[in-house]
Parts: sequence; structure tokens; C-alpha cells
Amino acid sequence: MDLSFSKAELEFRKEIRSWLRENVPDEQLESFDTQVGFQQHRDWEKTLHAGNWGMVTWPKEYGGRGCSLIEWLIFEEEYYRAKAPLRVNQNGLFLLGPTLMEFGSKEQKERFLPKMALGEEIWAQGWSEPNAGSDMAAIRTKAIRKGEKYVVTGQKIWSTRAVWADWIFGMFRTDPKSERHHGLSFILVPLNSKGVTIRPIAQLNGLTGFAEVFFDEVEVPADCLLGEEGDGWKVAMATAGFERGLMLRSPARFQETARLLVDLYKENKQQADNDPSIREAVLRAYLDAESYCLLTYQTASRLVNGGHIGPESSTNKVFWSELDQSMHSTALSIIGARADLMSGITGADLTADWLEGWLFAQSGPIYAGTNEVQRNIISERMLGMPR
Amino acid sequence: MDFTFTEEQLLFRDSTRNLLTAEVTPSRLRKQWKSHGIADTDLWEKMLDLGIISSTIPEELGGSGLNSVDFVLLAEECGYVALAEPVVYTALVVVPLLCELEGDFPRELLSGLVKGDYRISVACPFTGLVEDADTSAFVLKFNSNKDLVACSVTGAELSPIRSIDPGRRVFSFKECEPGKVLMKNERFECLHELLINLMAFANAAQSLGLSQRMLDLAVSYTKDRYQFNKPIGSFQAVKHLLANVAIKLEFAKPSVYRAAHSLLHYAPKRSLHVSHAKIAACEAASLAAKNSLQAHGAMGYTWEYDLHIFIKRSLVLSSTGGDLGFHKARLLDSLFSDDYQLGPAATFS
Ligand SMILES: Cc1cc2nc3c(=O)[nH]c(=O)nc-3n(C[C@H](O)[C@H](O)[C@H](O)COP(=O)(O)OP(=O)(O)OC[C@H]3O[C@@H](n4cnc5c(N)ncnc54)[C@H](O)[C@@H]3O)c2cc1C
Repeated sequence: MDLSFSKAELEFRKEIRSWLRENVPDEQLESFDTQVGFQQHRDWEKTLHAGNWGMVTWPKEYGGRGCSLIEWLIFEEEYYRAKAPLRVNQNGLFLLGPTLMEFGSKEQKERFLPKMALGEEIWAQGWSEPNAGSDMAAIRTKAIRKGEKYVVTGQKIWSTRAVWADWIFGMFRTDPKSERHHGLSFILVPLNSKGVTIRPIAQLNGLTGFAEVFFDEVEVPADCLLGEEGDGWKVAMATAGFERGLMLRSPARFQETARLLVDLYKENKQQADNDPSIREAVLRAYLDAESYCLLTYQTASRLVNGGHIGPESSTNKVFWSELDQSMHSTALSIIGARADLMSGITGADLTADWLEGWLFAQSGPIYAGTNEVQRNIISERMLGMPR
Repeated sequence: MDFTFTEEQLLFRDSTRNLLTAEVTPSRLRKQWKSHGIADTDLWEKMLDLGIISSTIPEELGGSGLNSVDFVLLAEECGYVALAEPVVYTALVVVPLLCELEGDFPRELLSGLVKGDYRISVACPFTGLVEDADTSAFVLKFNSNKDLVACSVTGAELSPIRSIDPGRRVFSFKECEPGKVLMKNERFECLHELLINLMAFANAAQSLGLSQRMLDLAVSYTKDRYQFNKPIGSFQAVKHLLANVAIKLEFAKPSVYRAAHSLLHYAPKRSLHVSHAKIAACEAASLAAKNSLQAHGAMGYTWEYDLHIFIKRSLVLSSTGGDLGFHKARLLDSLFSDDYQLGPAATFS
């Protein structure tokens, strides 16, 4: 065990820190759940890519730097410290990217990865359907092979950022006679195809952060199949593993929130101490964010040394989502009498940020597999308890 | 000892429930949100006609003379439908505060309320902000001299403040001329405490109703929604989410009912009872918000589905009327004082 960063890692940190200092916009961008904000964030992806910072872990030929996971964590730490914009293409970069790397053909990697890194193609995820939420094996949207094409018919729902995205990846039933997790395939579909209709869905903040996507005999070239036909479940599980596991929510995000929470507490200490649970909750935020960071470095090291992520990725998902929820509730408790006020009085800008975060934090225990389902996985697959 | 409501109180609750659920529908609330901050005056008129607004005003002034114990169940029902109009604040804050004062002017104000001549609101003692100031004729507040005054809204500077709850209509308020004195500052301590107690109690009672509404929505959703060929309500994890809310709520209720009783009878510990009620009821509502949303999955996270109306309201009721920090500190101060009686046999003393 050696818990010090190497000279190269320290150099890397210095480099990204100074690049971010030069390049992160002073003004916060609009939310990427608005049309203007979406474009601003797409432009930001281009800026990142121009600095060769799009996706540091990818091989050089696809627009990356071939960095290790440890360097990726360093990148993320600097990124959140610098308050750089959220990644509008995170579905692509963090989820589809690694899946393509594992299951994609050479042609597919060359076709999709560079455009993803450049922000030219922003990706949405299409797993959920109205009747296939937690029960993903109930997917019914069909993709029937006809010559050199798949013909896709059906409906996906809750697709994050699908309102303005360019492509969607997800699971489709390629064998119409199949049941459950058999006969499914992982397919990539351009959202500008004929027969695709997108119905934006507004979330709790009123913005259309996700969408329903309808497919009416949409023709998709057969080379948009990722992995083997009928192997969709296996491929999807790998993607879901990335989502729950390491990539989706790096510790830096929560460490930054915990830091802001400590600041908020210090600025309002006198009134915050009225509620004895607040001090404890602030401490817990720090401890848990710190623990999350430690576990992530440990997992990353294990992967670097050739290990794999198993069902323990479910413990991550439960941990960060509940941490995020509790940090934001604590912040609102500190703000106290004005906790619901978003504009019109002093301090409301800051409150509005916490409120926005609070709303979003409520969805953490739902998306990427609900926490109830994760706890089932932990008990059954990690602990071997009876089903 | 009889810790129950009368037949009559329960009947009045039931009829109010029927009325409110028919009138104050989520679609009506949503329509009001889209009105760019204009109040739903039709609804207010309706409540006035039905005598709900004037229900706590003494009979000799034309009201129906309900007390806090009679009204607490109605306030719950108002919470259940997330009533945006300030019915509960009028009946449980403005009216009892005015009833506490001597002289002709407070009586005049109460008569005006009964007749529907105008509305009256109060400035929050913590923030100075005023709910529904734009539809009121008078705002009750403590001036810098700590006198309780009634300020005319005409000519005052009002500016709307945006809450995360689109149904909340709250304003900053600056009067243009000094208000008419209702009570000189020698009774400041007592009236200030009363005002806080009334607001906190009103919020606690509404929070019970809100919690019940969120729980009802979740229970019914989890019966109808199927995953893995079963209603999701059959999964133990989902059952426990909602059972935990039911436990919190059951134990919050009697604390609110006791507070109603203590306020009515000027019990020496009434402030502490109110604080207990506020904490218990708002905590129940906050757990109901969190767990009901969780039980809904992504459906609960949409603007179209009604759950968020109640989630956002529960945040407002928790932060206003004294935030939980205020109420916890107030309780702790007493609890740790040497002469505070606690332990068995002290609950109703
Ligand atoms: C903000 C947000 C973004 C999202 N983005 C995407 C996206 O980009 N692409 C996409 O495909 N999907 C997305 N989703 C959908 C998400 O994956 C689903 O919400 C999730 O899988 C749960 O499905 P559901 O909403 O249908 O809830 P349901 O499956 O109906 O679950 C409802 C409740 O029942 C519980 N439950 C269900 N089954 C069990 C069980 N077996 N045991 C115990 N409890 C159970 C759940 O835990 C939950 O509490 C998003 C959701 C949200 C909230």
C-alpha cells in the first residue's frame, strides 16, 4: 500500500488545474435541461476536447489520453474544485464509452467514440419503458432484423436529455418470441431517424430533463448492433455496472457539496446550532463523502491491478444517493426560515442552488436502479441471502 | 380524561373534507399557478359563504365561535388538499390574535372579516414577509417599537418573492404610513409568543393532512403499479417505506391535538406543546415526501404527476412558523432547566 501520488500524477494534477483555471467560464452556464443551456454545454464539451480533456481514460486514438483510473479521479477532483460545467454527454462518455470499448467492433469504436468525445453526438439512454422500470427484463420495444436493417417499434421512457440529444442507446427485443432477459439486443439509434417522436417530460423543477421516445417502424442500420444479437442483457449489465459503480458519480462531486455544506454551516453557525441534529449531519456529510472517496480510490486501484467490479457496485449507488439526499436536506435545515425562497430576497440565489440540488437529490435513489432493488442485489448476490 | 373528538367535530371534519376535495383539486391549484400570481378569489368567496373563514370568530361578532380544538381537524383537511388560499392562517392566526386584544378596532376588523369586506394577513415574526399581502387590506405586524399595529396595504410597497412552491404567494412588505396601534408594546412578549405559537400550530395541523395525502397517493399507486408481475406494493421494501411514514404520522397526531387543547386553555406549557407538535408533524411530512416519492419511482419525479404539489408545500410548512431549529431550541431550553417537570405523570400537568 502506498497512499501517495506519484510524480507523474502530481504533474497531471497541476496540468489540469491550470488548464481549468484558464478555461472554465466565469459565468455559470444555463441548465442543460434548457435548449440554450444544452447548446452551451455542448460547446463546453468542444472546449474540453480542444484541450484534450474530453475523456482522459480513453486511448489516444479515440480522443483520450490513455490515463489510468487514478488519474481520472484526479481529473474529477480538479474538475469539481474548479466548478466546471456538468457533463452533458455523461451517458455517452461514462456509460456507452466504456461499453463500446469492451464490446464494440473496431469500426464502431472509430465511428462513435471520437464524435462522442467532441460533443458532436450527445447520447441518451433507453432502457426504461412504461412497463419495464425496475423490471427491465419486461422490455417490449422490438427491433426486428430485416436484411441490413433493424426495424424498431415501441416506446422508451424517462430518457435523460433525450429532448435535445442526437442518439439513444438501449435494449430492444430482437427475438419477438423471446421472454424476459433472453432475445434482447443492445442497439444504437439516431434520434433524427424517420419514425422517432420525442415527447419531453417536465421534472420537479419544471424543466424537461427527460423524455418519452416513440419508435414507429424506425429503420436502423444493422451495424448499430453492439455485441451479439441476443446478448443485450449481458452488454447492458456491463453498462449498468459502470453506472452504479465507478463512473457515474465520482466522489469529487459529493466532496465538493460537503465542503459547501460546511461553509454554509459556518456562515450560519449561530442559528444552525439551534437544531442539534445539524452539527451531527454536517459532520456525517464530511465523513461519508470522505469514505466514498476512499472506497473509490481503493476500487480504482483494484481495477488498475486487474480486478473487476461485482455486485458491490450496488453498495456505491445506495451510498452516494443517500449521502446526496441527506446533505441537501441538511442545507435546507440550515437555511431555515427562508429555505423555500428562490428569488426576491438577499441570499435567495444561494438557496435556489441548494433547492435545485435538493430536488435532484430526490431522484438519486430512483435512477440507475432504485435503492430497493440495489439492496436486493446486495443481500442476494453479495451476501448470498435467499431470494 | 377524554382525548377524543366529539361526534360533531368529526362530522364537521367529514363535511369539510368532502367539500375541499371536490373544490380544491390539483387541477385547480395548477390553474392558479399559471395565473402569474393572481389569487383564486372565487375559492376564497366560496369558503367565506360556507362560513369556514369566519368559523373561529366569536358568535357575538357573527362567526361560529369554533376554538382551536374544533378547528384543528379542519386545518388538517386544508393541508390534505394543499389549499393555497390563506384560510387556515386567517382562522388560526389572524382571528385568535385579534380576539386576544381589547378595544373597538380589533372587533371592527373581525366584523369586517366576517362580512367579507376585506382580508387581513400577518407579517412573519421571523422574516417580516407577508403571505397574500396583495389581497389583504391590512397587515398585522410588530413595528420597530414592538407595538402590534395594523398597517394599511394601500400605498405600501409589496414585492413578490418566489418560493419553490408555486402555490405560495408571499411578499416583502413595507408600509407607507405607520400602522394603527392595536396593542402597545407592554404586551409584546406575550403577543409575540402567541403569534409564533399560532403560526406553528397552523402549520403542524396542515402538515398532518399533507402527510396523509402523500401517503394515500403512494399507497394507491403501489396497488395499481405492477412490476415483476406483482403490484409493487407487495414488495416488502416498498411496504416498509410507507409503513415507516404511517408510524411517524400516527405519533405526530396526538402531539398536534394536545397543542390545540393547550392553546385553547392557556396551558402553562402551551409553547412547548406547540413546538413538539411542529417538530413531529413536519418531520412526518418530510418523511412522507421522501418515501412517497421513492415508492412512485420516476413517475413521482414528474411535474405532471401531483405528488410534488404536496412535497413542495411540506417544505414551506416546515420552514415557516418557526423552523425546526427554533422549536427544538425552545424545547431544549426548557427541558434542561432545573424546574422543568418531566417523567411519568408530568405530561398533562
Ligand atoms: C431523474 C431520472 C432520470 C432517469 N433517466 C433515465 C434514462 O436516461 N434512461 C432510462 O432508461 N431510464 C431512466 N430513468 C428511469 C429509471 O431507471 C427508473 O425510474 C427506475 O429503473 C425505476 O423504475 P420505475 O420508475 O418504473 O419504478 P418502479 O419500478 O415502478 O418502482 C417503484 C417502486 O417500487 C420499488 N420496486 C420495484 N420492484 C421492486 C422489487 N423487486 N423489490 C423491491 N422494491 C421494488 C422501487 O424500488 C420503487 O420504490 C430515470 C429516472 C429518473 C428519476
